[in-house]
Amino acid sequence: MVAAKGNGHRRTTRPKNLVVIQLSGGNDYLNTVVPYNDGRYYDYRPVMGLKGESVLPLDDRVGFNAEMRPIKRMFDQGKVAVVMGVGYPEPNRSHFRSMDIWHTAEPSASSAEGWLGKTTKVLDPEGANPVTAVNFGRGLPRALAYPGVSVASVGQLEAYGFLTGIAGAAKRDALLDVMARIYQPSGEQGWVSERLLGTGQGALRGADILQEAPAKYKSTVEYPADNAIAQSLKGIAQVLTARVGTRIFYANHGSFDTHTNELVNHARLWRELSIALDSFWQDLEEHDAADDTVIMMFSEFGRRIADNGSGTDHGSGGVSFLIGNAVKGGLYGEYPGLAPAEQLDGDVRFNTDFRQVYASVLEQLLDVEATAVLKSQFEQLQMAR
Amino acid sequence: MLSATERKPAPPTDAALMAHLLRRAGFGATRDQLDRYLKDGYEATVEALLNPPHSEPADQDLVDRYFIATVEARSPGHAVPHWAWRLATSEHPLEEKIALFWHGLLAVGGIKLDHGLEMLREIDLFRRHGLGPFRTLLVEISRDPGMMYWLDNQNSHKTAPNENYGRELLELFSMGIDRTGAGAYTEADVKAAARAFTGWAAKPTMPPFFLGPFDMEFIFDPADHDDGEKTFLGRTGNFNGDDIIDIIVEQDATARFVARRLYLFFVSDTPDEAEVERLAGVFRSSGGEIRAILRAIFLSDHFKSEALRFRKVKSPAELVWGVVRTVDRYRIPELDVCDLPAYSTYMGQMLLNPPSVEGWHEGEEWVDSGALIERVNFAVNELGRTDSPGVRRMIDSVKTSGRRLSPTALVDRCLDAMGALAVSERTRAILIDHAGRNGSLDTTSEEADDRVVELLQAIVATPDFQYC
Amino acid sequence: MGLTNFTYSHTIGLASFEGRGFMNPVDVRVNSKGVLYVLSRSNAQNKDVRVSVATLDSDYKFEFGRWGTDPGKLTMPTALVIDRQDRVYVADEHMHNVSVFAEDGKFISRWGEPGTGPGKLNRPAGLAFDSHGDLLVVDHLNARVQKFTPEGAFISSFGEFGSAAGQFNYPWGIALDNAGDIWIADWRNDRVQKFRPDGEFVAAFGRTGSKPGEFRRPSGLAIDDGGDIYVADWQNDRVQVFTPQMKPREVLNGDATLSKWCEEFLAVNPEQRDQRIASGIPGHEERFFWRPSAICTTSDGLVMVADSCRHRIQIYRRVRVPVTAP
Repeated sequence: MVAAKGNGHRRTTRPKNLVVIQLSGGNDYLNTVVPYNDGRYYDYRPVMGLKGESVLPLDDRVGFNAEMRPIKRMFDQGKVAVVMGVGYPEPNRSHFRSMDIWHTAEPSASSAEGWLGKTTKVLDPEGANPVTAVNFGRGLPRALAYPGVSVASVGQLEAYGFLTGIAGAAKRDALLDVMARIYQPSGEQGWVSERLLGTGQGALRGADILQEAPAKYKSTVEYPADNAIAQSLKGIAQVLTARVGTRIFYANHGSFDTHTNELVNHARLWRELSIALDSFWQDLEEHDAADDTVIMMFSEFGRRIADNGSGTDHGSGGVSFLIGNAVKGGLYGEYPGLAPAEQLDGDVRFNTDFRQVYASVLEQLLDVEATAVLKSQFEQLQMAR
Repeated sequence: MLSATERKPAPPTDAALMAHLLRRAGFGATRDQLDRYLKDGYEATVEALLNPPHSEPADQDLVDRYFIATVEARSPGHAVPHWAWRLATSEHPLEEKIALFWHGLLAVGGIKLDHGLEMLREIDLFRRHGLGPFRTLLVEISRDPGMMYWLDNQNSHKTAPNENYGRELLELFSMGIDRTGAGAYTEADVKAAARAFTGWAAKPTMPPFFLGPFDMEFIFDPADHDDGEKTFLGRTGNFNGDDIIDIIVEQDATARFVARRLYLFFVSDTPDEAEVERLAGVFRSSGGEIRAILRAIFLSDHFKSEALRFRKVKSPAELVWGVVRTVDRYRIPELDVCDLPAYSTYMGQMLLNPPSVEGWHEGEEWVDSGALIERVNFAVNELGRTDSPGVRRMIDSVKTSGRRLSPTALVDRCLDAMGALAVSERTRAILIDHAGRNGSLDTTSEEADDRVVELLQAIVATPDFQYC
Repeated sequence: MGLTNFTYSHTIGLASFEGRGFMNPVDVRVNSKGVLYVLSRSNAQNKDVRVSVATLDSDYKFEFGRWGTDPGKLTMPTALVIDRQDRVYVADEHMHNVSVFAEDGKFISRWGEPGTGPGKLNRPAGLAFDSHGDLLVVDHLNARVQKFTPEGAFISSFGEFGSAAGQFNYPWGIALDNAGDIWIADWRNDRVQKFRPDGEFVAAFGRTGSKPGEFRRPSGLAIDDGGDIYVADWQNDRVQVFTPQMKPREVLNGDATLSKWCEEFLAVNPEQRDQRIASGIPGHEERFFWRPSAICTTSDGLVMVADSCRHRIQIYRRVRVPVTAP
């Protein structure tokens, strides 16, 4: 186990691009990284316990869910850091609240400011580039919200931008032309502020940049069409390889809320994600972008230790992943114990604060002072190569 | 090129003033609603807006039937279609607008609370008390189990008071702080207020996961209440929470704070200090009645002046429900009423879930580039739905206003048909220029509908339309 | 509780968005083999619509008809009914149609389209088969009841909008008695109306209110073998039972205990079990109906109530099953 921790201010040679994949719904830690040599695991999971060929051993204690074969391959290449028992004090088992806590890096009070929004502000203080951060999905996750920071939220790149609901290119172009004129800063007195006009210009420019990305993109890699996270990652690859200055990408995969029929659903989710990641990584390698990119995957909480007969209910401690050539692969932290005395209300007890992961990513991979984003100092994990 | 007289916008009319009132006191009005209001006259309309009947809408049963999950709303997401329908169809727009105002000021975050029913009850509390005396509103919100839970007052005990509620009550709900962070109160006052509110709490709640939610309840526990002597804002006594509120509403700082917040919400994103001071005076002379302050706003020459039209950036809720009401989209609670809150969320305002106890950052901060794209696309798509009765009426009213319309007339007829709307002179000139590239419009021609709709869509895509 | 004609039997259910459990159940039926079919309405945001299949002793089997508009999917389902071949018919008031499924949930067909003309539908609500095997559909926004063959061919209709005898205001539930007479929950008129099989008005009972015999938005109806009439008195959160002569017989307010599925849920979620106890709720409010939407009676004396806002089916047993008229 790589357990080295320390307060490092380890600068990387070149700051990386960060791709965050949110595993929404509460990913079941125990069936993702399986403690397959712990008899208690099977006692608590008479129905949901994974064994034999369903587990890909990482060492003599834990193994990946067998659906994660492509991720296992990257793990064997030393590219995957697995952070054990991630969470925060006084866990909240509501999806929304717990997700807010992860998004704002603020477990004790409600906040409107997202940690990645704040990071974007640090990376691009003047908002010079309208696509410094790009979210794939409808609506902005709070992680990316920050006053004065504009983040593009993209459903489909080709369909991104103004007036996409208007049928007919000629009609749309005519109206876009009117918009381009009206949003031109004028210096004239009127009730429209220069700031709003500038926002309009930035939005028009950002939409052009993002819409053009797919046309510029060529790749031999095929992403499965019926796999939503693969399509999101394909969009990310298109923007990333267009090299338009985007530093933070955000995508969402789920739902991991496997109260029922978990064996089927959880396996499917990891199969889709593993295939998507495999394609994505090949694509980055083909475009010489693999060294510059780091993937982070997290979920708002893990699930109960005991199964409920067909699934698992909301828990607390979970697992996060960092993947990339710049990442020092391995298992970080201890697998939380399953003995009753070590549990927390029937959950695995967290032993690594999620903000330690954030601090490590910020300083070691993005070259951003962690305290510029997080309210206090957190001990970092030495995860960068 | 257009002549100078043609470029000049139409002079302000009663309709334009009425439209201004309805945009601020409500969510805008269609052209025919304006005509009905104009028949009643400005002052009578103000009075009617200020005195909603507080009755359940006649179609509430249908909302419950079609959206059964709102009846037992476990989460804000389950609850919000209920409000979405009211916002889209209420005949008492100020009742909803004032609820929206207090929802952003006495802000309870629905996601931490995780109890949709309680959030709906709170919105109803704002409907009932939002226009009345501020004291009553503060007393009610202090007995609101959702608020007590949200600001941790159930963790505030006689032996160990939690200052959260006492602090926010003073700082964010009533007296406020200035730019330096200083308030007209001290830390000792915060502590005294916190002690006075010990024993005020939300009863422990049944978890909603397996049987749906149960009502939250407020409880006062005398045994956990610090009944000792306290000194608060210079007065000393064995104060309970109600006494604290009595003292708060007598403060000049409170009068100014409430006046300023109402001004920012209903008048302009840029406060006029003299006017705020005048409104603070109305607060004092009326015993803190919100209705009196709003009346003083709406009847003032200051509010009516053209200089104050379109001086507020529309909130996402104002934009979404303003557009939906303009196009008069719904007769019954259709399924896609449930999508409206999502659009507002995409634009940065998730109803029933203010991001923090400070509510939303309003004004120019509403519009970032992602939000602007959502705002424009939403409005453009709604105006493109010619099956919506309101859009149909707009097209027909433009088409029946003349056999042949010059580009200028076409633009002005469209603006009027959208509810006596205006755009800046520069924007109007660009729209006229755009409308002119196909010459004047034969309103009997086959292309007439399309050209009118295209212009309506261009109007809602302008930066001007982002203001109300 | 003072129940004279009924004893509470047990409760099936748990709020869940998938698998074992329901989400806002709005209808319940039992097929010829005694298997339970429960229709979950859910909401537009969460889309947990489906038909769940379970045994009467809480053995969960499978589900079908989840959210969507494709064939085999449901969007805003209102009612479910089962024919003599155990085929399952579900009305959908968003798509304005009726979907037909096999006993195992396999989609067979669907029919119906929006409109106001004969055979067209505007928000179909309650469903019932008559003794000929034809399907009666409460076409609620068209304020009428239409009769179709099981394949969807229009046969006849009756009713119009209004509050006079024989007129409807947003009608919902429907049930047929042994004589083939048709009973309709005339929802916004707060009454129940009785018609001959040909649509001729016979009688009406009930008016707005909360006293016995009064209604607030009656939704579902059932008639047992003895001719007693069960009305889901929706906004009054109760079920009223009437004699065949339309006289109030009994009022049920709900007697739910924790279902087997709830017990299982609490067993693996200990802090929720503790929170439930700390809230002081158990033993009081927990047992009451909250917007009961539909009722199903069986020939062996069971009365099942779809308790929509508590995500469960409360089951009663008729104590003295009346002798069925020959």
